Amino acid sequence: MKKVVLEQLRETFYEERLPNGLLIRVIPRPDFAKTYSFFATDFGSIDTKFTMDGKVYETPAGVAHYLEHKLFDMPEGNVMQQFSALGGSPNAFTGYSMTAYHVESTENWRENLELLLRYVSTPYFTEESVEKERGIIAQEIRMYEDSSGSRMYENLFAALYQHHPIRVPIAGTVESIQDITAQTLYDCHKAFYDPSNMMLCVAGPVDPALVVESAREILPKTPGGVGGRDYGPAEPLTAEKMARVEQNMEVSMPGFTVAFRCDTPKTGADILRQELVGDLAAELLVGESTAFYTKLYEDGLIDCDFSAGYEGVKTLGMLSIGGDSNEPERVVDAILKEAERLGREGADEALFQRLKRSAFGRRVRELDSFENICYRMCQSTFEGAFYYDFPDLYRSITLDETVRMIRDTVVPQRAALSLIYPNAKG
Amino acid sequence: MNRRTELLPGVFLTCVQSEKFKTGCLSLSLLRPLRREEAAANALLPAVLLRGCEGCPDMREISAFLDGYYGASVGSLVRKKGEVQTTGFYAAFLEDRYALDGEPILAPMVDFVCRLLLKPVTEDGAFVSAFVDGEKQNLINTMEARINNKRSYVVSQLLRTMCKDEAYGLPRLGDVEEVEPITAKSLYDHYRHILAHSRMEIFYHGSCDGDTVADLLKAGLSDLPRGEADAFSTVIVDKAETVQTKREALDVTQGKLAMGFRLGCTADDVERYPAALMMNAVFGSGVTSKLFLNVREKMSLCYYASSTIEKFKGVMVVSSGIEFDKFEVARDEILHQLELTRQGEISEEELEGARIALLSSLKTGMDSPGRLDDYALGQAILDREGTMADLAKSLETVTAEQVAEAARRVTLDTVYFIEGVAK
Repeated sequence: MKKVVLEQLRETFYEERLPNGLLIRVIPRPDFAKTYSFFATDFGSIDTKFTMDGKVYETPAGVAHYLEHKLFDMPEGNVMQQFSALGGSPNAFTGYSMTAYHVESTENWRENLELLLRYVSTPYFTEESVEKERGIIAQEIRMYEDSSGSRMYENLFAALYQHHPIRVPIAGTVESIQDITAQTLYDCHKAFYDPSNMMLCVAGPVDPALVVESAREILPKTPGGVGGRDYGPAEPLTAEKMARVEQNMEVSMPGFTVAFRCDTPKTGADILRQELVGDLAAELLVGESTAFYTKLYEDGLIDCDFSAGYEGVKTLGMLSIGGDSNEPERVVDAILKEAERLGREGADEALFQRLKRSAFGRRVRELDSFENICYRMCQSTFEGAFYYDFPDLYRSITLDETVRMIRDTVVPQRAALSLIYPNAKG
Repeated sequence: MNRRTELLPGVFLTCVQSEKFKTGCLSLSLLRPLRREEAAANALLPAVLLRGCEGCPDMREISAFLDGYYGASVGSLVRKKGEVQTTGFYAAFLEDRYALDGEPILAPMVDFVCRLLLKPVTEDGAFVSAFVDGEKQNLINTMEARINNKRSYVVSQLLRTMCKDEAYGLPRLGDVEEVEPITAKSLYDHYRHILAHSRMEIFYHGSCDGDTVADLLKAGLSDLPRGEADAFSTVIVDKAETVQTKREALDVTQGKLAMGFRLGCTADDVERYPAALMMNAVFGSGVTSKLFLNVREKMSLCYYASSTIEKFKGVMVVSSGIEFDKFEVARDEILHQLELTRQGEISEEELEGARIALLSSLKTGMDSPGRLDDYALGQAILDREGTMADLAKSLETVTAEQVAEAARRVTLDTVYFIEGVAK
């Protein structure tokens, strides 16, 4: 087992790669009562089309999320009750590119971990149980359909990209999930729940050696294959003009998100760097310490819900800016003009250094959250990066590089605008 | 461990010293009676104060200051605990030991928060009217945006209906009608009044020792005016007399059901409260609860159906998202599960599952500065000393019969249902 000490962050973790390909990281936190175990697979809602053993699979939208729900079933019954008996709080989530299962406990951390490893690596689905879940998931999808935040993003992704599966909502649609069967779930589990495609992170007052021992014992001894993903042809970065999509909903005031397609990073390290630069670019362009933000705020064009940042799903990256506004199109115009000005005139070096310091401090503070630390570690690993490189990356990121990103990216040809308007009254 | 001291007359500091985190945090709350005439003003106040203070006269200067301290954050913190409303700030910042050049962070942050509270930018004996107008509009937007999240909206509508003659029916931030008449002058006068006439609770969690924190705060608050504190209390309705049902039509694809109950117990009732907590867990909170296992898992009626209790007011709320035509089925099934709890149909797994989940939640709460803060504030409001660990201990002996007894004290007051509009 490798021990890694990061002096500046005062962090230590232990790392082990099992013969089956699983990467394990343990972050000891001896002063805490709770232990958090996070078991993730590099498989999300966008991985619907893949090849396995020479065969091409095209699975229905929402399958990763459906699988997440059904994995809790074991031959002996739903695993929730077993966790309860052990005092563990289990949960799971499905994202565009990752599915993760976690459990938090203050007692029996090892039993909870072992149960987590066992149920995630044991596919057990019957037609009846898959059928039974359809109603629950349909209600979950209905809930998202009524959520303006979800609709805004789903519409945005559909407008921003031409054919990438990110265009479809994570949970799929009430229609698409009708075609999911026990066999679909078995196929996806076989293709993507192989230890070599997964990562285990544990944070808490635990002995790292015991974590590794449990994983060794419970999971398959050797790696199987992993499905070959197909996201279709490369997405064009530029279009003739800004894409635009709007929807009316039961909301109180208009909401908007405008996003800009970023360059495609070539390596994992580039992905992480682009994320850090992207967040800084957003701060430099529309952050709270800019004159531009103050002007929009004081003019009542935006409020404190306004936010901006970089979002990446593997090699798809975007700068997104959004909030509530009674005049969203005016805000978007102003952003485009401000980006043009910044691209031309550049920005103040002292301001940039302060923004870097701020971004660095916030990332350090984020490490307090076990959820965050585990999620970040897994996400970076699946993208081919090492998350704890961020302090070094910050040191090397320059103002020029950040301004360049704004100049190249924040243009109408790279943009899509998603709007949610209130229903007409009466 | 926890230490609560009186810094100045009516100003209390609770300190939890811990090296566990990279973040230190500080909250500062003025305690007010929850009432219509001041709820919105209390909610507006911190937002206006966050627009500028001595040394940082506008938002941009404030942002620059916080960026310089490694992305420290300060936000408005308005809480509703029964019929007590608290207003103030919450600050979170990097611990001193991570500063790149060894510079202090805690001391300037404490000073800054005190300046925000005591040294606002003023004009002609009032707040800056542009700040007040802007923040009034933001607050109104926030209030109007309640409808955007249907899951919380239905609960807020339920409580409004159920407690229409009680202060508790008021939302945490008050209502739009009370925001509109506020002026830069009226808010400033109110601010001067509540500064002098409110109990203040301060919470610090971080690596610094309590004495040092107390000294920093005493220096920062030396100009705080002190007078007799306005009293607050919560009216408890022990039992519902009749059940009212209300429906509202909105353009939604999923129905939202909320049911409000009188719990017949509050956290102040130290004898009965542990059993009420257990009852809520057995009945409707968490994955071993009757609601989860039956309404969701067995009948596939919903994605979520769960109950929560508000310990200061003594109300229990069940909330669920369902198909429109499942309203009666879901409501009846929820009541049926409560009836089973009343009759003591509680399995060993349900009882122990509930207990272990609550104990675990209390223990993890001790790993969370935010939850420690909230618990300390609640105890201060109740004038009680017990810690989360004490509460955990009292849960250990609750029996199934006590849970059933707690459920028998519960009475249904109001049912609220949001359904789709006919298209």
